[in-house]
Amino acid sequence: MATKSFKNYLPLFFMLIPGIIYFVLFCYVPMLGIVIAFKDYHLMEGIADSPWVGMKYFNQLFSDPYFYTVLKNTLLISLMKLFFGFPMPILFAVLLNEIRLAKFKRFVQTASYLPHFISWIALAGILESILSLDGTVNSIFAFIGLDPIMFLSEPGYFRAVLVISDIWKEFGWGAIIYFAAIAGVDNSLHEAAAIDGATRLQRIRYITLPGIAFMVVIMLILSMANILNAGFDQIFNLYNSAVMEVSDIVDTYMYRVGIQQVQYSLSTALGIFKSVVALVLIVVTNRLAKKLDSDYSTLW
Amino acid sequence: MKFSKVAAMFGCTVLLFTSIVGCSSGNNKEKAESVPGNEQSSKPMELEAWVSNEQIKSDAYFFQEIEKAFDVKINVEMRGTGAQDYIDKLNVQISSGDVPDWINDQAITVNMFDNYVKQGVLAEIPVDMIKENMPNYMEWVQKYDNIFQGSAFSLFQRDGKNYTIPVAYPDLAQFCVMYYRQDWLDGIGAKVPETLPELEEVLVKFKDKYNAGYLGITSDPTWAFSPIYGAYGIYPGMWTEKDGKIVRGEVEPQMKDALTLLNKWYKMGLIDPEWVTLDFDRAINKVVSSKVGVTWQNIYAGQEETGAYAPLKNIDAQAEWAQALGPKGPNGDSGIMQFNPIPGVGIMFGKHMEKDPEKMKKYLQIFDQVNTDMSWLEKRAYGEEGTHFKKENGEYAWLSPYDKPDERQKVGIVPEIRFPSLESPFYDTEKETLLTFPTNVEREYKQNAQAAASGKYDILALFPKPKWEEVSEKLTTLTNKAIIDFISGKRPISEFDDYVAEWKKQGGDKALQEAQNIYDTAFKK
Repeated sequence: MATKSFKNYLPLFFMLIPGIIYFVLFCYVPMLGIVIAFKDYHLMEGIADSPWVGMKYFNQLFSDPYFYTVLKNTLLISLMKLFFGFPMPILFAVLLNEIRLAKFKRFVQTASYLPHFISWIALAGILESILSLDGTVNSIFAFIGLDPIMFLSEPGYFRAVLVISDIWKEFGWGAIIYFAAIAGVDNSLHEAAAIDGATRLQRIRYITLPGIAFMVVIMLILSMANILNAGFDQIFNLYNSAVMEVSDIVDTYMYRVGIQQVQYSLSTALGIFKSVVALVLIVVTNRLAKKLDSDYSTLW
Repeated sequence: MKFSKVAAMFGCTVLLFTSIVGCSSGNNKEKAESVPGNEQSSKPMELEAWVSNEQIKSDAYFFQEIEKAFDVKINVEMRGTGAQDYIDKLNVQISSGDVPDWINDQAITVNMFDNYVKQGVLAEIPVDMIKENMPNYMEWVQKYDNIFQGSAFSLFQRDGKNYTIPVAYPDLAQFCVMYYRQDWLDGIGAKVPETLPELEEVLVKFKDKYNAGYLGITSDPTWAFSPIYGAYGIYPGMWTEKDGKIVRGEVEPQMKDALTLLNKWYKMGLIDPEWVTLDFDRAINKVVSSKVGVTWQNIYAGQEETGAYAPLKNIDAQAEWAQALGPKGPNGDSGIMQFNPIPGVGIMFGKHMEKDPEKMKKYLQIFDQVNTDMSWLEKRAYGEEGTHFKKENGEYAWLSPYDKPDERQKVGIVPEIRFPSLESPFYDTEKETLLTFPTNVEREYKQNAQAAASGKYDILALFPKPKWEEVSEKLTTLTNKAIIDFISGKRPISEFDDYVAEWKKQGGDKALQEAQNIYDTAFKK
């Protein structure tokens, strides 16, 4: 029976082959390049002929005290973005779903995910303009009678600027997947609840939210993988010497050191470190999710 | 049923086929380029040139002239819109094995150069080959012996092999001046300040009347206040010589005095509080929109029409700039940071050129000619005499319709051609002044401007400093933060000695020692 169904699905397998070749060639084979992290990579000699140095670059990374400052910043900024930014798309999707007027709903949704497409280079320029001393925000402050705040050069405010602007940029795009999940909730449940006299809020709490819980869990697990990516594009375009100590993340630090010394091996070692941490976090979160409720669909 | 099955199979095979074809077609280009010079002599040699404007192709006037005169074919490549872009693309190219024929950019540091040598990216350029094929260049090296001091070919030798054709821009040593808004000075009835107290007075009056202050054109704290530091005789952010010793300005005792003054000025509101966040472009914007009364910049910025500050005239027709030396400090010192006249490691060749000495010789010969001969320099800058420009009484003027930049772009006469750099890398001050300042009025401007340019530059820029490289990033971050905090008052100036101690502890001590050793070996012969 196995061969019979195999023959039936043969064309499908053939269609898979280009995709598989692509992934093998461009995603799996390059992974072998991680050996660069354990070698003193010499460009012209190639990967194979460069000498082995073992953990030299990892040791270099971990023995640098500034590395821990940078790691702390990365985790702090990432967790802040997660804590404040993760619920936003969910909230937005749930609330927008309650709007009846279809045209308005669609307009708001489209407007919400447009910022996702603006590159941080452009957005940084806009932010710098808005938050400058004679920019919009400080002009409003002056009008009300408050003192101006230099948001981009005060360490106390800078992280808030990072988190808020990032949430504004991404919540619309992130909400798309929740819209899809909400649409998947069975309508008859809502009807039944309405007949039984449930209010809007009760319907959201007892039907919509549990209905999309599986999606929330999966998205949470996936965002764990990004814990060490605090947003290079954004921070690189916005930071300056005054706020370096609170905003320097692993990636910006590596960019500066890497550019100065063209250190392929060091950067690769750092990349491996990040990947290992991400993998561990994903597996742990996945296990936790399964333990909490085995009904949740999880990655494994 | 059967049809859909056939269609599916067909679709799959087409997909498979196109992906295989797509993979292979990339390789052929590489093979064609790397065949060394065993072509027949009738086929002209193919040389590379690069541009930073994708509209320029090999039909540009300059390239056409070279092709005709030297019987070569020029392949033009767009290699990025600026120095950093070029270097990024260069590194990506090198890491994929595609090293260009020649490499040249001032922003390539000696550290990067050493990396390239170590990784086997560069070809050896035997000094004899240079002497044989570049007679004009050798004369030029002799002419500027005060800059090279006889060490032109030993600076970038590694293991007894020479890897570059050294370049120099003598004007860089006298490059930066103070800029004061002359019309505002007239408005408050003051003359150009010559001392720090005078400057302070002017800044106070500027603040009252025009609500504008001092803004350095960079957000780098060690450079932004260069004229003030210079008034105390120190140059932070670079290695300079003082009384036979190599010092690093930011940890010199006079730095404390400079920072105290800057803190005082900051509290008085004389320094633009946004100085830390403004990058070069936004700082220029501020200057051009009359929000800055005192600044410092290179001498080209004040040039009418082409200078960075030129747009100011469109906004405020009354605006005038005065250029001046940096203000004098309590000990009579004055100066603004300048640049090392040897700004980079020079012109390098890719490793594969070692296998093609005929091609390398051709490059050397052409570089030699087109970068030293006046008629070639004119061709690069202005095109063809009688067609694109005319020369009257030693002054250059565009001929219509080439006075319009769009028309010039069509024939490729734009300052975005690098062969091997924008202007001659073997920069002859007399010749280049005539070209860059085409009228006598402008030449006078340059002379006056340069007379106001004085200060020190980083004299160890070209020497490899491994101990410094290890800690430079760390120390720079530490220094920048300290300067920002001292000036804004967040950190009391009494902690300056703590900062210096920290700097030395984090490796600054070793770096200073290393620098002193390098200086003693190289300069005290």
